[in-house]
Amino acid sequence: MADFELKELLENNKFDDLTEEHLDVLKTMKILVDDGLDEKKVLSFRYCKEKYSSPYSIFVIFPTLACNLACKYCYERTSELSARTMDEKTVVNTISFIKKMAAEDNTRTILIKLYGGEPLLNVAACTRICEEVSSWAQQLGMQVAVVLQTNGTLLTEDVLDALAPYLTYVELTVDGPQKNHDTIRIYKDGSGTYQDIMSAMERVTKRGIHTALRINIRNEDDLRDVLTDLTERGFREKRGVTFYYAQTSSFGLCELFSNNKLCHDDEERALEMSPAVREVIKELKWMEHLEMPDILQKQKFVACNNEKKARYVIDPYGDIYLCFFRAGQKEYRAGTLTEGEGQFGSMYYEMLARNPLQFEECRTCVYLPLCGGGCAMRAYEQSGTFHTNSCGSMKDFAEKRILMYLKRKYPDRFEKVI
Amino acid sequence: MKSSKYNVYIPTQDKFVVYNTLTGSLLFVDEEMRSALEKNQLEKLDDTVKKQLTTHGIAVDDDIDETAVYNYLHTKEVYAPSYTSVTVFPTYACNLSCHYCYQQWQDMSKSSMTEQVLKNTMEFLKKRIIEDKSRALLVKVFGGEPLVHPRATETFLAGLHQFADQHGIEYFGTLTTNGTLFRGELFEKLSPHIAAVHITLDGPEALHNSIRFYSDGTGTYADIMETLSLLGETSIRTCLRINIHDGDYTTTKSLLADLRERGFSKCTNFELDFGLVVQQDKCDLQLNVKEYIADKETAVTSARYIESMLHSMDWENTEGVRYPDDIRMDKAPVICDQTKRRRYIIDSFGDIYLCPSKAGEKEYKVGRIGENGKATWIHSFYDILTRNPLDFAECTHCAYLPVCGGGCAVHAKEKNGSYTTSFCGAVKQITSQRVLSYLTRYYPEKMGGAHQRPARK
Repeated sequence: MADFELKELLENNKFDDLTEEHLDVLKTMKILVDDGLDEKKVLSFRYCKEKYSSPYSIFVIFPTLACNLACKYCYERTSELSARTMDEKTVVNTISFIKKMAAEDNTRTILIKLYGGEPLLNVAACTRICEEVSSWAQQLGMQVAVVLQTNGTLLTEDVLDALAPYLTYVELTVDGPQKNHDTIRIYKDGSGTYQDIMSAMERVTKRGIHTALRINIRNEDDLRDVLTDLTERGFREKRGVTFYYAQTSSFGLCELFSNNKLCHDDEERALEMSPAVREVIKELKWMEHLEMPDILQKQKFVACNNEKKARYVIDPYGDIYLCFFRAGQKEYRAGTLTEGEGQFGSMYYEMLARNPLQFEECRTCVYLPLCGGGCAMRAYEQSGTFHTNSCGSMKDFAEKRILMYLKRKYPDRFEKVI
Repeated sequence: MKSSKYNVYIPTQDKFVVYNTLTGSLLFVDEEMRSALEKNQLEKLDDTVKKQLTTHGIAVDDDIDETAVYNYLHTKEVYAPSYTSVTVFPTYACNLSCHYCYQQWQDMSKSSMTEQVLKNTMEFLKKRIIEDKSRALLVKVFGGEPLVHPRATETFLAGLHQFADQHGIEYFGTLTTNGTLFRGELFEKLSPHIAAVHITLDGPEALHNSIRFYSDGTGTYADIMETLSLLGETSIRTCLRINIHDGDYTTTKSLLADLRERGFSKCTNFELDFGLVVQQDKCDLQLNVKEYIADKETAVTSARYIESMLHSMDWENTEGVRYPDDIRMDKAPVICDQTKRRRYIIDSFGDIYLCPSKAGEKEYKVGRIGENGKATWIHSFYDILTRNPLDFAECTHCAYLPVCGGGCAVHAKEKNGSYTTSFCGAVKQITSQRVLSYLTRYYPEKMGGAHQRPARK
């Protein structure tokens, strides 16, 4: 907290009147830095460090693009992807690729995310990949974590028998309370899936596997209904059950990358909703199960976790992507699996060599350390190149986020600020 | 398809060698092909030839931006080297008085690490090793003569070995020593923690003793030979640095003959590394870039003499010979293995450096270790780590960039006053010579006598 006088002094770079004690505090907090220090270099160092030296490698695998549901909002449905399923040869190539890259990345932990489509439509591929990578990694002293992102409707005891030894956690989704969910997340015959998902969650938690439930909501009342139902079903008392919430977006995937206004509105709504939502979570005693980035943690040196080295998305065709929203769309592929290895193309190098400190707008932007130049894919979509910025709504919301955070953390001092 | 921007065309007697500095590929081509590549007229080539060119990176797909590829390789190498490397100077003191030692001229204090600095340094290193999340750790103990301070040397080698084992990190320790103190109890104690030893010989006994002597003037040759006999019985990789003075190969030959007689030419754990000793004033790059280049050229030509010398005396372990013209290790997008993340050079004062030959020269330090192993980094750390040759106009379009990486950052600072400038050094002048010399040794039939053995100076 600074008063107007201090703000003026800082903005005008005039520190002669400050006491030693004040200067020390400002220096410790890096609000003042030594004359010789080029903060751009510090930022560049941290940016490259975060981008290039990830301690773990992530492989997002699409065993299939097909799905047994017909959810109305699914972006994969609207983008008319084929229902391609990974064949045996591609499974073998995927396994070799994981081994090769994990070794090259010198990783200590391999994270496999089984994604789709509905990955459990190809259980054989899921099991084989988990099994072979795990036994290989074990010999080399690497750890393997497997995350299964599934709609839950195919998560039978038999499937769990095969996969449970490898699963670190299972990610499930509900689209609000049952009455809403069953009109959105539906089987192809139109019937709802809520009850089946709950039964699956029961089976997973019973085996001691961690469940992360994504709860899509329109408002705090939706969350109240879902959490109340989950409490009645006894999940609040279970260990290893976490959840996070997201508001239902009103637009599809192509708009996500091209329509800044819709994204802005979405984010604004999410921010506005958040205090009331948190109240509901507290009231229903679900706070300790909440696992999502806090309001200030959204900000990072590198804009997207998938823009980093050691991130690979592999689709059923055996193509390599960096952005998993683009899997299956060949014009965005970053490479292709060939026998025993992967061949990277220009998109891979362009994306990895992206550095916002080379963009004029970013070099002098005070928000750069929070934003990392914005989404590379959005920049590409809007300007035809990865080597440009995509500001998104960072500037619009950074201040609001900080104030909301402070109000929550120090209500006595910030009640009137916002 | 287009020609790679990283092709270097080297004429031989009747054809050309294309050396791709990004992939390290070497390809013999005729004049017509060279011209097609240089002019980027590749459409008419048949598919098999095209395929061959792209496989070796001599031609690339049109949409590939090789600058981005280089940038990727460079950044990856700087920020994610596969292992953590620690170089420690337990002491600057030495039990010898060699007249050419660079550390002697620098009026460096003969200080040794105090218990407090040793403790701080160990705490710092343990923290970094965990934070780096590396799968392997290389510990190099350097000096001065590290064995003058056996307690610190043992703490680093044995202590970090144990620490690495506890955390499932692969460990390699190396010791650079003059060889005179590495024996007896110390040898027994340290050997289990050492994968490689570096020892220098300055020539046959008389010459060596006139250069490498104890402070009382007695020579060290006999003592070093005793140490080598001990090492010959182990599996410790023993790298013998053999200095060649004033281009005099006759003395080198008598040294090799003596080593052979002692049976060391059969030791498969022994390696030979030849070095030309440079005069002190030649280190001043600002004045002597020409001489610097000349020395590098001499080093390349020396490979031929060394090769024929070893051949004529039937040196058994030829696998262990390192030639100064070996281009196989050149594919290095970052010129120096030290100017990267996960590299820590710590001197006996607890100062942190990024260049081992500048350790002790305070103006080159990049940080300092304080109490509880907490480090303070200074501006030069960020200057060096964020140095990217693609920011230098002269490097952006240079075909040698992938084997040069913008040159040595410290030389650049010495020559231009700033780390963030390029230092071409001798790369442009000697790369062709090294390639030809290398090809003549390993593929003499393909060189068809085209390359003349350099005449002895």
